[in-house]
Amino acid sequence: MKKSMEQDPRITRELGSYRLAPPSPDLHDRVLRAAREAMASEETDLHRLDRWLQALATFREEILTYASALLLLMGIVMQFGGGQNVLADTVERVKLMVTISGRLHRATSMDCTVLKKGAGGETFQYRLRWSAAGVTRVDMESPGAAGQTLWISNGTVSAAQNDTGTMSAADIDALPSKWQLSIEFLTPTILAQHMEMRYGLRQAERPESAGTDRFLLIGRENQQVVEIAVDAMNYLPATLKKFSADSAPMGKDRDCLEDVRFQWNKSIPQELFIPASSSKRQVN
Amino acid sequence: MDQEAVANEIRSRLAANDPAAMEMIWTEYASDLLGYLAGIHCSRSDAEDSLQEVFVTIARKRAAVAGARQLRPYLFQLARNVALNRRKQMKRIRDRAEPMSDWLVPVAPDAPDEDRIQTLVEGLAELPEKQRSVLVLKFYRDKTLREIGTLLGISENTAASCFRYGIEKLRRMVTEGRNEEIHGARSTHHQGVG
Repeated sequence: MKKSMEQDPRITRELGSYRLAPPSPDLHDRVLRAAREAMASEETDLHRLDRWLQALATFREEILTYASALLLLMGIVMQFGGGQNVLADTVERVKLMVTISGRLHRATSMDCTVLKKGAGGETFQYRLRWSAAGVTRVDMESPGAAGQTLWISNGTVSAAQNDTGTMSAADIDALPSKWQLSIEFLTPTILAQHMEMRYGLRQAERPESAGTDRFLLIGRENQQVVEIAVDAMNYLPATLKKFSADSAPMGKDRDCLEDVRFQWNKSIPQELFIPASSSKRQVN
Repeated sequence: MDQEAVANEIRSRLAANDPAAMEMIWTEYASDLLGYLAGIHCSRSDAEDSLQEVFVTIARKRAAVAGARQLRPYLFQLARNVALNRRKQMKRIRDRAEPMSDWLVPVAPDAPDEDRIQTLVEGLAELPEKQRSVLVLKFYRDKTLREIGTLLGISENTAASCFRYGIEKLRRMVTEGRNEEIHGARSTHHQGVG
């Protein structure tokens, strides 16, 4: 015991050499906004409840009859259709998507490399880096052409030709089609929106295909199958792949149309986000 | 304004459905609650998500919160319930419920004996939740054992015991970790000689 007491000051000092990580910069706004919304919706719900109670009093018997019939019907459907599993899966899916979306909204940086097949079979490659300051840098490589770098911020695009250093500016809505493909994952928020609204994702039953530390979400977009491997520790997407819906369902023969690899919250030199300051320099 | 006067002000604003009460709760309690939640989850992100849920719960159950006799311990108990529920839910989703390493950061880079300190920080995450909470509030929120007892709804003596046992376990973890290293090195040496 004496020995432990002698060592306590050392342990105390050593633990003191760490501190709690500072909260996310937007935590205050996010938490209070959610609380205010909860307060407001509660009041709205109370008013709505009052109106419902009044309506209920008027049509009490009719409502009870219809409600009983509906419950019976739902019971039959759930009995024969495995409805409980569907319901549980839906709840789990919503929880998962909320968690992933929350993590994406709190990301401080995103660095992704994208390989994408063009309509003529050519492959486009670009690297997209986003910082929480609101600027996205895209380094593009097109087959048979000089590379280009784009800086996208507040709806405007500055572009630099990497071989000549020529600069030009454009509105994001007036982007040439060859640049359009780069804005699908412009920010983590846009990626979150795609995951929530566009891809119709569900968790795959065979997580081994994504690796042991990841789980796989599968969805569809137009005629393509979208597969997103999510890191099970930080709930951020690690890879996103799109396959032709006509290609083989599994295995190496699948026709991969797009392959995106993400890295999150790592430090990216700020000068990379200043247009033209480093357009000729390819930084890894 | 002293703590009790602030708590009374918050109570009356909550009872009057005044959204300003939430800002006051943030100013008065959010840092301590976030530290406490980080200690429970061993994860900054989970702690922040839980804190948001705590505030939403306060907003929804504001009548009950306004009626709490001791506001600060009430909010800590509420935070604990939210955090434990969340941890259960996350375990269901995650295959492995390993602690995240984002909740503690070194004060200065390149601290001496970094490996040993890393073992300590990892050991902290392995302590029972109550002992870890006491250590986190003591070391990282500068609370006295009496204050910690009040916040966690335990006596000062129990808080002191949790603190002592927690430190003792950490000490053992560090010592055993070191012994294993020494024995590991010796056995490797013997194998090499043999």
